Amino acid sequence: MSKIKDNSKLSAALVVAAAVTLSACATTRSIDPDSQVHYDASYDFSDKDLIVNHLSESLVQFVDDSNVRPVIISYGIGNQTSEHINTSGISDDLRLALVQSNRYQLINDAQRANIEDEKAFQKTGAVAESQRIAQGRQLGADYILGGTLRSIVKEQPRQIRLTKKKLVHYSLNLELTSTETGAIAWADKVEIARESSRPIIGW
Amino acid sequence: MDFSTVKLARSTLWVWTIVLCSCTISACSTPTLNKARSEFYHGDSTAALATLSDSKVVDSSDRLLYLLEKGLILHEVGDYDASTRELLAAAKYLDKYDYISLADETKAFLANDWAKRYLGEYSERLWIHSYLMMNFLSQGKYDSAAVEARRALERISKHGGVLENDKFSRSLIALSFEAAGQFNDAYIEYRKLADQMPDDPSLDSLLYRLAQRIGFAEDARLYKKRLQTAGEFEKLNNNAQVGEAIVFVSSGVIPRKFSSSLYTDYEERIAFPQYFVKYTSPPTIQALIDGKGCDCSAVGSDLGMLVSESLSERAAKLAAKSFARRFLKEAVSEAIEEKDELAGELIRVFFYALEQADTRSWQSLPRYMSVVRVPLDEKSAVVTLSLNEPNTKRMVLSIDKDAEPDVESTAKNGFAVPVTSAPLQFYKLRLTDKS
Repeated sequence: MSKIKDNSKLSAALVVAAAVTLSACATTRSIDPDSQVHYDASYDFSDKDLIVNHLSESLVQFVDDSNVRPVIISYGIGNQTSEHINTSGISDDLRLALVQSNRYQLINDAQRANIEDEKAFQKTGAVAESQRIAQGRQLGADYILGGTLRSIVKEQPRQIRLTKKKLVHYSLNLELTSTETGAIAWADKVEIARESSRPIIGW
Repeated sequence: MDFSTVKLARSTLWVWTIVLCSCTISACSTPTLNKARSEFYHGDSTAALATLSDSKVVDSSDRLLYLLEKGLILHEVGDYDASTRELLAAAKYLDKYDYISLADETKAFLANDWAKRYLGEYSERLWIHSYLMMNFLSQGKYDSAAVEARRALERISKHGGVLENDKFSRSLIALSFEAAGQFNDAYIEYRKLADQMPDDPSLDSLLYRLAQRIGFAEDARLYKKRLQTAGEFEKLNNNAQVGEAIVFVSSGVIPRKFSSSLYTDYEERIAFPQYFVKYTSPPTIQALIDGKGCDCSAVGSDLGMLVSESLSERAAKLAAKSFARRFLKEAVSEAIEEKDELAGELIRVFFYALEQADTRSWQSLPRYMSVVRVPLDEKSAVVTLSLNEPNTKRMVLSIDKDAEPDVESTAKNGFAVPVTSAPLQFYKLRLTDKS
């Protein structure tokens, strides 16, 4: 009888131990923003960093070390993928890298309307004439920065298998177009290809 | 206690155990969804949205239906942001559960398909992207519409078959690419559409313009020749088009699924879902500019026929599953019967009653959908759209931006909207059958 009792206790202990081991607690941890983390094949922040680092380095090397700092205006990056990717994150980071390189001057077209509002306000007489913004001092762009992010998605065809594979290829082409001649003065691209697989059968 | 009492008690225990298990895992259509659908079809979208305000009101297996019905109703009331949120969540839900769930399959074998998560007919999965495209186009978010166009193409490529015949969705895909300035992709999709509608000159003129724009000189010559043969080319050249009003017209109510039975014995049957869709010619849309006929184009689909054909494509798979379930249930009944004859009989009756086809579907969808393109020139003043349906509504687009919208429209619930100066202007018109 005591042997049966001992067995019951052992079973109960095993069940409790298994439950504790299998149950997961909610955790949060910080990760290095430069590390490559991919949960699936879709676009993520690691891809954004890779794109921005490669293209900004290439773009910085385009101008020599002279004191002439070309003026650039960015009209954003088109999204031609099958994911809702906010490409303004790429444009903003590229702009930041270019400003910090001190090789280019960037026009902030997002603030144009606010600048006009501020000018209008200063003209009302609330601001002393000596302190008012001088007219006709805005920079004219030498180049337009623009590009397109594209993706090609290929899924494994139907066949007898245990996992489904998906191949995603991203490419971002970036161009610097001269506003004077319309010629493309600089162009580069970044390509990322990734394969992911997920089980066909699950719980 | 005598022998018969013990036997009856044991039978009752068997029966109750299986009944309890099956009832726990089988589910019925969430009544809240039906209530919201009814409110929507009686024209009370506000009440329908209030009914669907909390996602907990539906069973977890009906989660997709909740998102679909809510997303569509929000689209109809013009809350495109909220509609997009729900429909994107629906698309994400489908991606998340894109695998064979052992739990779901087990439940379906023990009870019926109602116990499984509803993952939609293939055509319903495509229409999630169609509604998202309409939302984004209506908001002028053309890049996002093009993203949905690509996802719709992926869906068509994955499921193929009947989805290839959905001219309305194909038209939206092409339109989304066109609006986003992705003319090459738009051209490819319009060509596919033209292959399905060889006699429609309006597509030839679109293809001619696009071929010229992207530098496909040879193709442009071909379409020019076709337009000249049809006597349409002169009209194209004389047209001082400055913009286009694009109207998404929907009418009718999508048919419902029914449960049909196939009797394999006098006390055994398998149930399967079925649509009984009668072909009726789609409503023709008449468009007038300032009371005169116009070179307007309309491309549409009969969603009722498509969803029915989409279900038929799965029929063999559904039948195989139903037969397997029937054999499993029979084996269980026989095993119990061997031990306890009465319990076996009772279980057989219970399984018979439990054999129900899964008739869930996205019910707020219309029966017909069309994309109507109305070319506008500088002089255009009033565009009138009407359908040849008995309970017709008329839509009046008032081009005069300074004037108040002409809400007078017609005696039959027409409505008017002002047209903006954007080159592409999107509107929607839905006729619902309240009967």
